[in-house]
Amino acid sequence: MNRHQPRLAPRAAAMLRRYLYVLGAHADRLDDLVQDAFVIALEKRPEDRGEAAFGAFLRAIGKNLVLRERASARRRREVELADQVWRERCGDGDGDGHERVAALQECVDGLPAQSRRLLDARYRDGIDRGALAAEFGLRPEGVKSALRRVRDALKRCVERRLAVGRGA
Amino acid sequence: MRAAEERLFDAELAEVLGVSVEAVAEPGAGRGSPRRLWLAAAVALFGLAITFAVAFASAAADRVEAQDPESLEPPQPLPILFWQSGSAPPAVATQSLMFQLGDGDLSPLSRYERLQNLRVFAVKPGRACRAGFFAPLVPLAQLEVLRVVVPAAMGTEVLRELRGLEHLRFLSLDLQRPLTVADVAALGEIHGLVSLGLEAQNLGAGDLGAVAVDAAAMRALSDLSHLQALRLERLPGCTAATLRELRGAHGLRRLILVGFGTQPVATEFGWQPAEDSAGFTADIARALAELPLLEDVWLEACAVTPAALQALPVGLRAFGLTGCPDADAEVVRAIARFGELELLRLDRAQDLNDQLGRPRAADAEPPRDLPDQRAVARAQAELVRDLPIRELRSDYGLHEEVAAALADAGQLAVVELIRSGATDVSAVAAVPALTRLTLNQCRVHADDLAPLRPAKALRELRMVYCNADRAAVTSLLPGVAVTFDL
Repeated sequence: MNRHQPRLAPRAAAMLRRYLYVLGAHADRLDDLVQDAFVIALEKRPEDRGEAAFGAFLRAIGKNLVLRERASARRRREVELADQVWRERCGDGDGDGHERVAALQECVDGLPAQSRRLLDARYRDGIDRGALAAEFGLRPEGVKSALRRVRDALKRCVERRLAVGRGA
Repeated sequence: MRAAEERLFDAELAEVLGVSVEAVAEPGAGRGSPRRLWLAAAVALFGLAITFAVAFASAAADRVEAQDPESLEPPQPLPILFWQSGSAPPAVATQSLMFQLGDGDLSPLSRYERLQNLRVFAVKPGRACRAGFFAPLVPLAQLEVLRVVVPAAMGTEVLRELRGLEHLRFLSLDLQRPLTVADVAALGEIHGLVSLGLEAQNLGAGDLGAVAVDAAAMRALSDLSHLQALRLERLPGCTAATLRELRGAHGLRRLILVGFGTQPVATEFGWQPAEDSAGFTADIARALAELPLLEDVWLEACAVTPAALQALPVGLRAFGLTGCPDADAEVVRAIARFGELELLRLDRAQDLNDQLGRPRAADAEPPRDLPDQRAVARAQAELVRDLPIRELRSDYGLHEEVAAALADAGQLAVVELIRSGATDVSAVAAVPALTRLTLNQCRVHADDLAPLRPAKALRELRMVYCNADRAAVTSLLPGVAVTFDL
């Protein structure tokens, strides 16, 4: 076991899980793919790499694993394009996207109480739209619209925070 | 890629909320509701119809080689014309050109606006290349493939001019001087470069040491962010330690190694390896196993052992073993471990004599040191029969055992025969799911293609540098799209 692993693994695993999902890996497969990627990566002397390089190495392995499950050129192309999206959003090379997650955490924490309750009730507690409609005094379609507005607000919030962080 | 953006947000939100991504994934966001999917399908079908119509209309007027943006195969529109500087230029419309450089000036090439594939030879290896050397190529907006000699006097600044070639994707450098880290950094400025070849083809054995690649240059290749394919030909210095430096090249999918190690039989054929190479060794294979995305390895004119193949990543999708007449049946049999192989490239060693133009009597003995070719043939046949290959490329003809095995290759759909004859065409006709066949430099007449008529799945036949009569072939195979490249 390498000296980086106890500190690296949880963050790197979370990063890899997000990356694999962006590439189009099915949610059911994420755990297996993350485990496979770690097994391959840890066989190849990760102690020789820095933390950031190890993350990039993990993503390269993860991408390879996803590509191997994509037989057609079109689907492999989709993986490449998704990888490009990751690079653009999370940084080419060393970027692990943690900055975005931290920004999103702050944005979620700053949501108005009603929006936060809606988010938790739907996504964390798994309450269906009908029950939420009754609780919030909305129609079921209205719940969907409200969630979409919350999500859009969070996306804008993340972009604003990142822009501020970059000094834009 | 809005879907990928949505997935990124879902994954981030799931992490923040501490739930699974399934919990936050909105069916309508990025994946499409059923209604949207129907609409998307209808739009796609409509678009497809328009695409086919436009393609059909334009194909008649102006045939341009289609290129899959993901493909690592360089486009090679035919015919390839040769032009020696100072002589009359070929037709202006040509798309493939081999240019022999006379006076160090590329400006005569700027007239070829449609040029896709260019190879530049130099008359004198030591000829100086001044600043602006590549400038005449910048206006060639369709130039995707460039193979060029790098004389000893060509500086890094001149190489950097290649960044002006906006559509350049495939670059091969015939080195007459060492590749430096600064050179590689200059190549990194070529935005779309996906394939790089580094060769030392035109130097004598005694001069090869002067161009040896070192670990630092190899490590620098990792910075070419779009690089997916690398060809190293007869280049000294390619040891396991040097090649291990490629492990940072996260996008590298294909590696072609040529001229690694001395093969006694191949040397008899006139093929000289890199003078310092011990062959494709297990150490090198283990170094390559550290490349995370590597899925395609092609060994050409290499000294190979079964142990080396055993050390390669087992999940390879494509593999080639050609120009390796010293490889015995055990080497060929070691390929069987690549159980996910989709593309296999093979050749037939005995017919290498043809390449040298040596007359060979029908009863001629094979060269003395050639391994037992019946055993090699059996091993090749086992590969064709047992591996799940979809594509087979075979050079210099098929062994009889391999030809017989084709009928059992259930997943094989694409075959290319290079320098083969009529007998091999008959054998390929028995491939159950054959959809695409390429005959490249084959000695066949139209009548020789008659066995293909019962091949129900066959949709495409490409004839490259074959002399068969066009009209006769087309009428012989109704329903098959036949193209001729002469």
